[in-house]
Amino acid sequence: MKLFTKPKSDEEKLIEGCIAGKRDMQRLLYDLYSRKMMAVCMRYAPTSFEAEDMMQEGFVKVFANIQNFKQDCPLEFWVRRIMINTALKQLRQKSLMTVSHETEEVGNIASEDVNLTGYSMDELLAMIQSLAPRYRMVFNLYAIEGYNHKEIGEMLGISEGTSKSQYSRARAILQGMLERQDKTYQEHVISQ
Amino acid sequence: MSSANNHKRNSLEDEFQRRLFDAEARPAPDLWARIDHDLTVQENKDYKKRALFYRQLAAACFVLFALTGALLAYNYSDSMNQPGAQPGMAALPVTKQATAPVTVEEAMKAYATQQEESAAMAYSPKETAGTQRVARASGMRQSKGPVAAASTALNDGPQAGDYYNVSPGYSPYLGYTPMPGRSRGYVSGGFPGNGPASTQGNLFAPGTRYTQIITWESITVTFGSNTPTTKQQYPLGNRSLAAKPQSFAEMSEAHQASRQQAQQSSETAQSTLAAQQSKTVEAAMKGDSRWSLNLAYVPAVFEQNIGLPDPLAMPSSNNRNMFSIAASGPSVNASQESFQNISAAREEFEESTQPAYSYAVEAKAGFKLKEKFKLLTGIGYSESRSRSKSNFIVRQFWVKPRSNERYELSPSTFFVSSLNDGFSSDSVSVARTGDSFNTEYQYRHLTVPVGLQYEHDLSKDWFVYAAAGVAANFLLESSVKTTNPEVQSVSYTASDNDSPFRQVQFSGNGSVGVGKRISPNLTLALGPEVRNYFNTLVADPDKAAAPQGKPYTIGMNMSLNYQLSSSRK
Repeated sequence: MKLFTKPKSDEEKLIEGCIAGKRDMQRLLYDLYSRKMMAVCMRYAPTSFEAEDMMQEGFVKVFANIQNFKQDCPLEFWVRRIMINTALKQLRQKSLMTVSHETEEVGNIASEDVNLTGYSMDELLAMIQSLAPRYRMVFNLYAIEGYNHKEIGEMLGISEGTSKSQYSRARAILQGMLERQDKTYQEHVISQ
Repeated sequence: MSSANNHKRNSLEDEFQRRLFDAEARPAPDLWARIDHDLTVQENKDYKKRALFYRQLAAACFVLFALTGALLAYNYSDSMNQPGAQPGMAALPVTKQATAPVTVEEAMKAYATQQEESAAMAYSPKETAGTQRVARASGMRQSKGPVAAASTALNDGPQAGDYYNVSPGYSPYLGYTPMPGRSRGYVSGGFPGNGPASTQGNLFAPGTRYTQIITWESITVTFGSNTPTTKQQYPLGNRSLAAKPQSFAEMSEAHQASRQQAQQSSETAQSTLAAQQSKTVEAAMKGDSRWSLNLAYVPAVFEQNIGLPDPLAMPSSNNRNMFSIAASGPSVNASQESFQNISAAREEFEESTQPAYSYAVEAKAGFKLKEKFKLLTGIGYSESRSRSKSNFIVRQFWVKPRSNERYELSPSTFFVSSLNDGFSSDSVSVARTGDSFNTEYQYRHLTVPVGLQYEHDLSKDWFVYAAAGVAANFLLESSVKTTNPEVQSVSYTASDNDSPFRQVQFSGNGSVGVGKRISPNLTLALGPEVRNYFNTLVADPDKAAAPQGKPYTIGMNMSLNYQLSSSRK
């Protein structure tokens, strides 16, 4: 017999409310994570409009499936994972992600130190959004979300080698953008 | 170096992760409203699925009920049509003589066949010389007439507790067994064997062991200790199975007489009962008057058939009482937003409006016009409900003429606002609420029905009916209630002059179904009923902004009818 029951945390109460379909609790959960999830969706979507669509669909899925949340990880990670899956599904539906098995060689990527302090978040997002959909997807999953290439291959239905190859291309493109930005900035400073 | 091997994280990955992993961006302000709308639509779909399931379940139950009723009716009518059977009385089992062997040869043949079939059984009696002697001694005729098929000597014959086999439908001692499928009897107690008494032809000599034969008729024939001095005579008609016959032949005759007597008395009882019943029915029919009382309860679903206005059909912006343009409304973008909200509200209303539980009760007097037609009229009460879920409210504003100060009226539902075109406020906007709320529409009517009912008998107890009629419905109250306390609920009584609803409404109804006579005077009928109103709920549909249709209900009519008895007896 349980003599003491652990008091429910705010997150647990929130989840219970959402499971019960209480609209105020759902609104609370939305308010809690909407900003972060919007940033996540903007990284995966080419435009902010599509990011909003992605987020709308993602949150509807969150509320429809929240009873399946096992509470074995923070709620934020679970919500984030749903957003990423929604992004993958939408991109697949729009045929923006063609499955390819590239194994082409890319040159050595310089591993010099990169400092992004001088860039605003909008600039960084713009750089990522300018990538081709499949590169953007692999770059997001590997560099920012922290998945390994094997996991990315399983998520995207491509081989591990293809994931690595596409990541290298995305990385090279981004590095080129950063170098061009730096060069422009330096020329601007010198001219002044 | 292959790119495939170049997957080590370095400063670029770390920098991007540091800057973007926990980054935040502001979503569009109306994104939650869109999500809320999606959730409402999804909930409505779930509700519709559940409602559909329950409707199908109800339909399946009804079909099952109707089929069972029809089957029962068919079954009853079949049993009534059997020759010799009386209405409402199950036919008594007729004594089956034909299957019994009529000659010794036939009996023996049947017995031999049975023996072969039951070779695997524990005991197979064989006819022995002793048996034949016993048979001769007991005075059995060897030619025509029912005789015993098997009887065995004590030594190799059946012992107490043994089974013996007989021909189907035939018992060696009782002549006939009513269950031809079962061909085994049971011998209890002793059995007259090869003793001197039996060999000398006296089967029931003193000292002979008692014999009991239990047949499937559960009749026990007991031959007690026979005393030859009694010489008791058993007058005809007073023969008992427990009596003590002097010989086997006497016993057989006694049994035959008893059977005939039982059969005669059964037939007499049957005919007497039938005569009594027909007299009762005739008396009931003759005694009934043409008047009857009828109580009906009709649970139903109600479709009010009212839509919401199309934003394109709304009054133009030149009109001062414009609907979609909130010139001096709550915000600069209110006009466009309100327009979009009207479309969304209309779509939502169409999706979420559901017929809710409604019912009608009626008390009617019936007058039999002809053999099968009945005119019914009386008084009734009906309560019709419908409900919907909404995210939108209508906000209306007035401008005070002198001070030019603007103030807001209580928000109302879009439904109520669109029942007339009297958006008399200076500006109106349709706004989205934070949380969805339920709205229930309720109409209470006092009804005066008049109808004609046709009944056709399927059997004595079952009948089918078809009914049609019209009714005048007087509106007692109409209300639109919301669960949102901020939104105004409205209620109109019969005396309200500003009620947009029709005060008197005519409707037509039709019903078919089956009925059961519970007693000669009382019947219960059940069947689907459709009721259609001849006019719209709103008194002047041309003035209403929303499209108006004619409402209808679909329900199940359950009625109890009591046939009044005639006053002259």
